[in-house]
Amino acid sequence: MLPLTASSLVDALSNIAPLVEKLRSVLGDRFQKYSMRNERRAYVYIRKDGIRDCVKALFDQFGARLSTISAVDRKFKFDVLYHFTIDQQGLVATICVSTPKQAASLDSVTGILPAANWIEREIQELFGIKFVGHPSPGKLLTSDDWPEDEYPLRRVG
Amino acid sequence: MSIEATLPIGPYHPALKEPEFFKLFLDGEKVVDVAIRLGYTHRGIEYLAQKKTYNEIPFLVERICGICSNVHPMCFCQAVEEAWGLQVPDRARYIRTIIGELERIHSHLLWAGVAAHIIGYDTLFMHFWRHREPVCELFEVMTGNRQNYAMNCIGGVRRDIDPTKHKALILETLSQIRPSLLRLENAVTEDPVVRARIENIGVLSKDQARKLCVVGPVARASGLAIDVRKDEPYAAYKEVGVDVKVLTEGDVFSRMLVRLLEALESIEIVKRALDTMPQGPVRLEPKEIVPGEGIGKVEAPRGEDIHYVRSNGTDIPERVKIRAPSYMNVPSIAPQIKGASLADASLIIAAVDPCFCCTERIAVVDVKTKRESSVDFESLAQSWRRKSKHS
Repeated sequence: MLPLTASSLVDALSNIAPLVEKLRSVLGDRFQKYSMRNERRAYVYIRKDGIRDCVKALFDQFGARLSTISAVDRKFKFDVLYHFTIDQQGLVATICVSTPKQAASLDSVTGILPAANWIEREIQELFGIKFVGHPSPGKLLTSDDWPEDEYPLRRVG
Repeated sequence: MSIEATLPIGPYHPALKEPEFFKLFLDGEKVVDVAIRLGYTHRGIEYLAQKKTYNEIPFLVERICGICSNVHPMCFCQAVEEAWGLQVPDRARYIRTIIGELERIHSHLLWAGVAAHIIGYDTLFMHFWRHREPVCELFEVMTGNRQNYAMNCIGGVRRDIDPTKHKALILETLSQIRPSLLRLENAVTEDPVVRARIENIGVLSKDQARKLCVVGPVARASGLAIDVRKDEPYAAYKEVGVDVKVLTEGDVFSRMLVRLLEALESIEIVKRALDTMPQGPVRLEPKEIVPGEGIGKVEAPRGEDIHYVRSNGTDIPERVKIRAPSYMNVPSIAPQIKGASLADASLIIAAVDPCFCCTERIAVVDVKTKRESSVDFESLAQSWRRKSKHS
């Protein structure tokens, strides 16, 4: 799909504007900015303490489905991207939060959306980001004797 | 509710096609709970993808799964094309559609055969697989391989479909298997024994399906009308169109029916795509690697597949995140299996069409951790002795 052109910008805005406005009103100053790649891809950047309210609003009011969560190692911080699909609009709304690498942690959203259970644990094991309040944060992927402080997908140096 | 026994199935078990481990908590014949542990086939593909160049990765992700081997490279290429802002040639989009739908036919028939085998109806199993075989042979003629077709590359497809030879062969094969599929559908829906075995088994309610974010035929059998082909048309689905099959009962029978109806619909899609396919190039040579991010989404036979790619301008991606459909569907086994009888357990597990190569990781579904303790043989024997004394 091509990036936005002037003509598709109008379509894109009408597809994405209600969602962005809702999140802005729910999150207040925890809402940072948003951008569009094309009319089907919105990226919303929020402060990490807003993730629970944001997920609740998306799930309850927009019927959003959690597709997956991607974590990206950015040297001094982690970007964590929650990819939500709103099927009726054919839209992927990616909620982006960042957490510093030192004592990396985020609020768990599994209590609100059970579908996040596995993926949060996967990120916890592979990147070492702690998900606070996860109901069953046990080992998922690595073997039982894998060292505690080694994270396979974390970049070294 | 008392737990009488835990029954381990796997990781290596004659009934399982791939290594996975199910621990069933039983109260007599009734399954009370299940703990699932996968991760026995974890191959670190996301890590490997961050060490390889863009041209190599489609071949790597093709090897995630042998059954939906077109899905992952197509999804990865779409994500990269979005990140780089590439417009794939029209003919390539049609070829991707045709390969994707043929793959859906053979994948659904494979599953239907396995399900028939599990309920002990081996004649039906052989019939399903017999009609799957011509589709695999078709792939061999068109791509050189029965699986792992290596058709996708960034910017299009690697091989053209011959407008006379291949087209005639595809149409001939499809016209042969279509009446057989209709007959098999009747065999499933009208046989009282088959229905008694799969109806009202492993029910997943619409609300549970939504909360667990299940995808594909599992979601569509539970009344969720979601299909990437319809909701976010990729390849040539906008032009060719898709009739999404949705049922509401959410049991194993509905999942069987949804897959059979989809296989029949796929035949129609391939025919329409072959008829309306434009001429032209099938591949575009990307000029530069643009920094940015892209999301690829494809409706795999098992549901929505999603790849996230972040490009930093070098020839190696900064991050490739892969989420195969079974990753969302396997956790839905837990609510389905609670309360079922032990004899139905394997059917319920199989009915989500779990692809463990795809899921490739993880496990232990939400089971109340305090109850999770295995029972050694001696204590199991004691509990049986206790039970037989009482009766």
